Amino acid sequence: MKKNVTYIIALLAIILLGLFIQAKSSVFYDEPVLRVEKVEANSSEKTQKIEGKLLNQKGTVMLETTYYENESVSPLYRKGNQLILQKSANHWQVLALKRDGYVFILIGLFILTVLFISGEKGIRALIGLILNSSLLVLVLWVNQRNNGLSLLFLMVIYTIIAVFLAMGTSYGFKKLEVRKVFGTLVSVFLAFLICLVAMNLLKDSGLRYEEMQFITRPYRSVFLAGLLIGAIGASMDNVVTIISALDEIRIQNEQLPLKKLVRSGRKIAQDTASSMINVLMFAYLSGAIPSVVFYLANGWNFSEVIGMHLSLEILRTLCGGFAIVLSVPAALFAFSMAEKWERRAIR
Amino acid sequence: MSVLICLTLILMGLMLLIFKKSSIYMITGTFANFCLFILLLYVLSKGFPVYPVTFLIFLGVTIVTLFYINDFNQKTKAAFLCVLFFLVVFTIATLPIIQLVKVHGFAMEELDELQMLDLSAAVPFSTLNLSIILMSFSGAVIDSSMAVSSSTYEIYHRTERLTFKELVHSSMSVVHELLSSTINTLLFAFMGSSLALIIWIQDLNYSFLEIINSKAFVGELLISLLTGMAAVIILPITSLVSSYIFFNQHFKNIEK
Repeated sequence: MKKNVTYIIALLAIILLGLFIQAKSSVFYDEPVLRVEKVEANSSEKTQKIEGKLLNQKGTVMLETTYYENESVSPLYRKGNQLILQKSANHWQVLALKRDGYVFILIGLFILTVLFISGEKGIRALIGLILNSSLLVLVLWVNQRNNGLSLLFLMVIYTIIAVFLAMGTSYGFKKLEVRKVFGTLVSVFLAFLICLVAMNLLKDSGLRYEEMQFITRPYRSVFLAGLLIGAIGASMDNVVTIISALDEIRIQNEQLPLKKLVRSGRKIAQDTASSMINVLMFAYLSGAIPSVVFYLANGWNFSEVIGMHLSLEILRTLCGGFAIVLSVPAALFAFSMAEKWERRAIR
Repeated sequence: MSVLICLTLILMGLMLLIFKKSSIYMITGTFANFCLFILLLYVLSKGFPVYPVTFLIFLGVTIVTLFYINDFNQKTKAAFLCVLFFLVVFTIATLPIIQLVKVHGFAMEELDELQMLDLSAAVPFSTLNLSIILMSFSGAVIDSSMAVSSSTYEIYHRTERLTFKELVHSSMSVVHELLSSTINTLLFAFMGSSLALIIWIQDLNYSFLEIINSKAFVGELLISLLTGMAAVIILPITSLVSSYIFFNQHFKNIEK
């Protein structure tokens, strides 16, 4: 009961603090922040007139900005919204809607949910999450500074460290096992190689890179780097599930022949594999929904648009699928090799 | 031959090789889910209302994944109930934050590429954002729910004379095991797919304040965190509901 009260207080604190940041943080901004007082939308002229007071400077501002009724570029601003502005050649431009407090609430809610459900294990999962994302940023930073090191090479190194980190934080560094790390790495790299070889041999036919957004580097290397790390989690999950289950069976029945064990391992994987592929498929594909609908509304041909916006996401799903499916033989192989070595050592 | 067709064929061959007969259900089921997604895009582009259409497709995906790929039994029925209940509650609970951050529509960084297109086309961007989030967590929620439900079933049937409290307790320990692997699966998937954005932000030297206010970044963050929360919250819900159902043998009569 006491625990629940603590969490309710924490929840309220996060929401209140978030709203406070949202309302008051403008003093930390160098750019002028505007509080919207009045909005007049004119959908035929595709503009909205905004009037408001500057919060971190003196004065009031009137400005006009684009507005389409479907809110494709900017939403209809409302009284009380805060906008970050920029002055260029005597007229004001909206840089962004201020969202910092809401982002704080969002992250706070996520952390609180994980802690509430899983306590100490939740902390470990969160630490793993933070370490792995910071490491990724660090590796990308190294890549930015040293043009000599290719992005893909650095991502290969990242993959190896990330598997150690993720396993260590979730299951304990003391329990870190060669079998599980080996199984994961083999399945991830093999899956990536299969895709890479197919892409090279078929000269990327059917792949449409032109819809990749946010490109500052050669697009193919950015895509390949993302392809490699996308499947690490899924394959790790599968490998750990299989090997832990086999360990469990082995403890209960030491005499069971290896062949039978391998068969039950395959059965366990059967239940998880296809729903894991579904997890990746929907997580990847769903981002394309608005763009596809938008292009279709502009009169583009259906199959053309599907190919344009989904080809790379489908390839990501396929690569993840390979990693998940291959993690079954990789885990079984790692398990049986370790067992054979152990037996030999005892003799 | 296109890369995608070639790789799909190889993947199907591998699945047949490893999982033998049962791979037929996996392959056809996954393909059916993909078709449901394409159907969603088609129906949305015809201007049908977003919420009911997304809800129906979500339902379709749940039915295919649980009852076709797996099986029609106590475990999947319990998972189905939990997913439905969760879908309604979670949607209502998260709508306010989705409305507040207003990340729908295109980001400023994307506008250059869209100059050829009519930005005023009748597309309901704001409601489509909810559609993205629901579809994004559909797979993860079904997977989590199924995993807990079948483990709880195994625990209940393998251990004799379990009280309800003990059953919930053992089932919750499965929840703790699944939590970190679920988070890892989604973490790497989202890092992989938003790598371009992360590199973009680094290359263009965005400041911290610019990052946390930018539509592109907050949009990605919103989808990733809500998907993660959904996949995590469904775990204890399924644990409680399925324990209750198995303990009271609600579905036994129907099955026999």
